[in-house]
Amino acid sequence: MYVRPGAAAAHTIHWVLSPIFAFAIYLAILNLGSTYFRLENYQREAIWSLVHLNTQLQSTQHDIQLYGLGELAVKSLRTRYELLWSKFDITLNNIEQDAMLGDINGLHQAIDESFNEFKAMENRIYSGETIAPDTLDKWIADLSHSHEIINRFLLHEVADADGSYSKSSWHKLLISLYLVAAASLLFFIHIGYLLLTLVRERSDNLFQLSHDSLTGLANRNHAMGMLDEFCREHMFFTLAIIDLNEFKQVNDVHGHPAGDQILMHLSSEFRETLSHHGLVGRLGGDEFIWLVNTTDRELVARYFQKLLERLSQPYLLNEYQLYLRLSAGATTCHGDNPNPKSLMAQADAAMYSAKKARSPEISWYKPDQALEKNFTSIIGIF
Amino acid sequence: MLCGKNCRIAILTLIILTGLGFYISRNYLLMPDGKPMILITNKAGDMSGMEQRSPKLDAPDMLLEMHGAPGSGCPAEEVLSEQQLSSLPQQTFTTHHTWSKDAETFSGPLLADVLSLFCPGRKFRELHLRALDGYAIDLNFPTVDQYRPIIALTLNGERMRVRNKGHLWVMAPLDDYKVPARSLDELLIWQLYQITVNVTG
Repeated sequence: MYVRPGAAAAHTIHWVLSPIFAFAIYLAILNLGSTYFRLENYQREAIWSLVHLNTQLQSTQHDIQLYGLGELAVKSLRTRYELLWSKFDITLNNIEQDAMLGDINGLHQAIDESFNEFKAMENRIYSGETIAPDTLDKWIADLSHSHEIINRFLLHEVADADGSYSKSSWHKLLISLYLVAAASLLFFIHIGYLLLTLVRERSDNLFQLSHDSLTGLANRNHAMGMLDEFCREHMFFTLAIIDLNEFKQVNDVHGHPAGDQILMHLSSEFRETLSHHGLVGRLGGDEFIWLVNTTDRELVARYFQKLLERLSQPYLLNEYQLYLRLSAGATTCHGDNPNPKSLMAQADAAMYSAKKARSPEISWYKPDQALEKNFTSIIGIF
Repeated sequence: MLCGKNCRIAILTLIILTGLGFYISRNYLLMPDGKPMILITNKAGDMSGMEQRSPKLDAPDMLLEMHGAPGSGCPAEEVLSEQQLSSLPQQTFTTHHTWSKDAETFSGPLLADVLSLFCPGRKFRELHLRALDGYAIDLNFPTVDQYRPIIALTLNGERMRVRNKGHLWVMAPLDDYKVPARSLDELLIWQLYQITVNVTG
């Protein structure tokens, strides 16, 4: 069996891999969407808690001032104190739970310190005694300082696109993007591989459709199709029919596998010589056709001579030395005889006359040559 | 042959994976669905609401102001005491939530029961909730009621102070419902002191 090397078959696994890779893309995109919404949510929450902590810090300063002026009851001040306490608590919890917020250097520590300062006010606020104005002033100064620090973190680290919070969140989004890219890449590489396999299989199939499976030469259909085409296009060419003499005896004496071996050897000799100058096809059995793109008989004879030179070396078959002898007949077409049938008959007649004359040279068809009756056996396809 | 063995395997794989995709996206990759369940009407920090507090709330043990909007068919104003809230059937559950690393145990009456106590025999549609820090939300009650929110009176068995988000905190058994993380946070209003029933029907 003559099979072109590199033929690959698509396996079942590919039919499962494609949907799996497509599915991986689907999951990666879902993950990207989910990550985006989560990060957006986290950032909003982070900004939210810091802004509200700051607002409460300001409101508390304001209430302490009002209390100092005697315009606010201690009960309202206590409510305010409790509210600010809860905001500190919530913000610290946010920082602990949101890794990106926790990654901001110094934020947790700054808020923790402010919270501790703030907690120290508790005794005074709940003591029931009037709080001295200088204590109130110190509280206002402390809270104002905390407010400034938090504001700085909020502006430069959380809200700013260059801040470490945004960078950290962008990094996470980027990982999700990479996953989408990786899944897509896998999918497309796989599809590309499948396409390549299909293209190669198709060309293998086409090759096998037009070639003889034993010798790898063009098969009868393909060769005859080419002849038809040459005629239709009114081309100038030479048609030769080559017959291997005494092939039947070889088959009888050495067996069919030996016959096949000889045909394969002969075909490889054809490929080394005649194929360089035209199309060689196997008509069937031991008969071959050669289409040459020239009408120059000398040139054709010279090409053929090269083949004969190669065949003058004996072929070794099971320790036997075999000399392959050919009979070849040819005819030229000058674009004026678009009838492939009669061209075949002419070449065939020429080949028979060569066989009769036992001449290894190419025998050319002469118009007065009688066409042998048995040519129909060769061109039975028409 | 229209669809060979390999093709059938591919189609089968696709069907299995599509089903798996639906399952995964529903259960593990939760997306916000954009249903307007809660509308934040007043951000925390806006204290203008504090001056509107009913003076009755200053009396000992008084915890929750209830208001009925004109046309809602509910009483104009009532202040519920801790005792009244405690006398309703108490729900207790332990759940994770945004504001704590560990799961915590909440206990208190269902929001639905509190509303019925204030305004019996009504179906509640639109509510307005306010917190001490000025945070306020409008919410569509039937939409959130599916999560069985309670008005928590205790956290881990202890009464809450304002500093730890008390005295009242709306909480839902989040762990029982597969909702996207943080998606119900806006409902879980802490330092709650006032509920207004805007629309019933």
